[in-house]
Amino acid sequence: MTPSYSQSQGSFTGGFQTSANVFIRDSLIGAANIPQYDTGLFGVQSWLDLGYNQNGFDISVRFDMFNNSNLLNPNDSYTDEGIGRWHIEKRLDKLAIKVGHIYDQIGSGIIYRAYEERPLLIDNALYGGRLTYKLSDDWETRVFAGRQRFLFGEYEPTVKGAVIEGYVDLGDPEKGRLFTLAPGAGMLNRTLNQEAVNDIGSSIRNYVDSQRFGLKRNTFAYSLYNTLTYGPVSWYAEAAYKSAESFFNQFKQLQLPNGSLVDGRWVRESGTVYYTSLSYAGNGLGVTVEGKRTENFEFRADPQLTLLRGLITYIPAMNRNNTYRLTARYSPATQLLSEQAFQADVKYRWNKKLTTLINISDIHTLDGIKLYRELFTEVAYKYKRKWQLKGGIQFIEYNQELYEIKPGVPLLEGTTPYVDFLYKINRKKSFRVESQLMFVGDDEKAGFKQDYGDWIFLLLEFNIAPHWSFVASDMYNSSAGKNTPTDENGEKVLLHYPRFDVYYTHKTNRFSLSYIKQVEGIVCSGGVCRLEPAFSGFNFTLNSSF
Amino acid sequence: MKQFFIYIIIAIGLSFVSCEEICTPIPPRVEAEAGRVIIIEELTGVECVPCAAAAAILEDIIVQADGAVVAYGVHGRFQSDPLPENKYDFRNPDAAELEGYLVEFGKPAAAINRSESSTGSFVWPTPGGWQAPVDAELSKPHIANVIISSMYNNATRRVDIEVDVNAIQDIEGVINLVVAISESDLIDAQDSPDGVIPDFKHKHVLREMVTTILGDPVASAGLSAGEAIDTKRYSYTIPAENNGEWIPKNMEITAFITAEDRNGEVLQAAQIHIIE
Repeated sequence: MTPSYSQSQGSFTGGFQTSANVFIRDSLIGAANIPQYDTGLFGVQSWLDLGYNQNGFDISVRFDMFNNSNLLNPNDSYTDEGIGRWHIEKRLDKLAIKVGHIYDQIGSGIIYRAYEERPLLIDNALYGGRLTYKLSDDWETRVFAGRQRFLFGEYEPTVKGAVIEGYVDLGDPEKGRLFTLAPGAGMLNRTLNQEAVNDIGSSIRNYVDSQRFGLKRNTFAYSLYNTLTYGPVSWYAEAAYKSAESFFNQFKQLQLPNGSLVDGRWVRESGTVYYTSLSYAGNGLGVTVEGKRTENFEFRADPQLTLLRGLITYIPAMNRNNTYRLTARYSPATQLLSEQAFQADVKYRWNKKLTTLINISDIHTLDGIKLYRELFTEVAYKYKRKWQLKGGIQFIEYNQELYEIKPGVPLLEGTTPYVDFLYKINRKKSFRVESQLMFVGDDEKAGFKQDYGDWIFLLLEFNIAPHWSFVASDMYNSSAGKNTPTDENGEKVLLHYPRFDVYYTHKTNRFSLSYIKQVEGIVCSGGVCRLEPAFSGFNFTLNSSF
Repeated sequence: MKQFFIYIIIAIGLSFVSCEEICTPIPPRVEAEAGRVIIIEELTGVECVPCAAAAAILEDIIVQADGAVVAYGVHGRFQSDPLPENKYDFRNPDAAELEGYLVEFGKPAAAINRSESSTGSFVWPTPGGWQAPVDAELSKPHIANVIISSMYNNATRRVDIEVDVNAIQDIEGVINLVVAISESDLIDAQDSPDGVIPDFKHKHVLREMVTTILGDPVASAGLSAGEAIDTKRYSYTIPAENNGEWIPKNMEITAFITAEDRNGEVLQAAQIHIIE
């Protein structure tokens, strides 16, 4: 919660976040040969948010600064600064008018989500206007139009949308029966600029006749969704459809004029997503079951954009959001073209001391290719307020060939037992130790274990409330894998990847200083992922709110 | 007001479903002005899985352009380490430096006349989208000629290179000249979605830059229409033939001029074989 200080009738709020890196070259782990290690040596990115609210006016502005930053592209330096976001909103009774940079989403975000995710440098706010009108206490409608933001500019194509969302109470308060519906419907239109259409046209001009298609500037997407709550049961369901549009499908083969076939070509096809989530909570039991089917739902501001750029769609991830270093090492990125997924999470609280959890997820392509499978278990025992012990094991199968575009590698198999022990010395001091072991399968073709091989991770944390926290950890490559670094003699080198952090919190300010040596890996947030190269150096962060 | 909003929602919904859009015609093939030549610098690597397909797309673009597009492949740092199956190591310091200059997250990617894309990058990451910037560059006016001639001495394996540049239109600012050596028809392993292709034909592999990667300045204050620079002379000694590489008849000389006023954009390019 951001504190605010009243000044007559208005209030100011704000926040500041900065992250600075010092890059120390370490060619053995792959932290080399990019500008930061070769020449830049130092990089920083900062955001300052300011907001003012008075008499129904809400005004906000954000200053962004990137100085030799590796956030935009981990292999490059990016430098720029300026006003990254602003908005003005005025509420007039039931009507709210907002212009500037707007975050919004329709349903769970499948046909439209504008949001910010700083660690991945995603900020795809809509730069335009939005009208919100409360039709009644329980029903609201919104219409919006604009262009998607990218860094300090916008993509050319335009986006327009409309949403209606409501709340229907069918329960009986006298009998204590809870029965509600939260239905909604949304529509979205994206109109490509002529240049983008021409660019796609140029690309398909040389296609053989059977692979060419007609070009259109408009794409429409529709979504129907509802949350039904009946007593302790909640059921969310959403169906989304996207009209035919041009997009690049890397799984389709292109026939070149000389007759040869290569992977990847432009196609024009419609797409669908079906998503549902059923949950129950009561009597110490919490159960969530989710299912999803995705087909051809690559939906961006401009279909020519790739990676994390220009995403209009946000399709919920179908795996557990793991937090331990090794259990989170292999995370599946949500697939936009072909995915069928299922997840179940069951948590049971046996008594005040003992809780157990089991989570399973299973992700395939629509053609039945296995992408990801996980079984995660956890047992947590809490002894009064003195100590807490958590432990469990994770089994995964991870299609590294597809997620990380590493052809020919076998399905990665990982087994990761873990333990987490927290001991409270007194009201102010506590100590925590965390450890995981990761065992991976064999890559018989390579003659080594898969990927980087096995790992051991150990973390020690000492907290002095409310100000200090000290953390030391090490991730050790205990058994060589195919991608374990080699020395000048070609011998595999089993390396330590240590990390030391100091955190200091004072009121609403939190500082951290870290020394980090980090192996390359996948960084994900809600199924949106990118490959992070190895890192070696110092990192300083400050998070402040006022 | 409530009814007004409901009408708006209904109207938007109806407009979404009732629109019947007329198809935009596929733009015709761009006919470059006679003599106009552009260059594609392809960022590639033997470990790069989609790069085999990208090479085929690039070759198709070159063939379709009928001499108006020349290219070389930059095996720099990323995904360029030799595979166990490789006979050759295509990496070299100039390629690494060039890749660092053109840098983009991921391969394949291509710089097309070193012109900036709408996202401010020098490179286009999706091979399926390369034709559009190629068209854009081909449709620009032909404002200069770059003429390469070479003399190869078989005994010393030395090639003497002469490059002439003359302006057809006025060109402002500093003009730089880049000269590079590449080699084609190198049969070696290349990764692909179907596994390693053991006998992939690598074309236009960048071997060495004769100038710096950003070029040597050849005109400090631009050129007027009809004006030419003094002939620039370079020499390059081809390493000894080794296991099927460094074959002079497979090697090319590429030269192009860039404009500093246009952030290093290429104005005109040319490519010849060392032995024609």
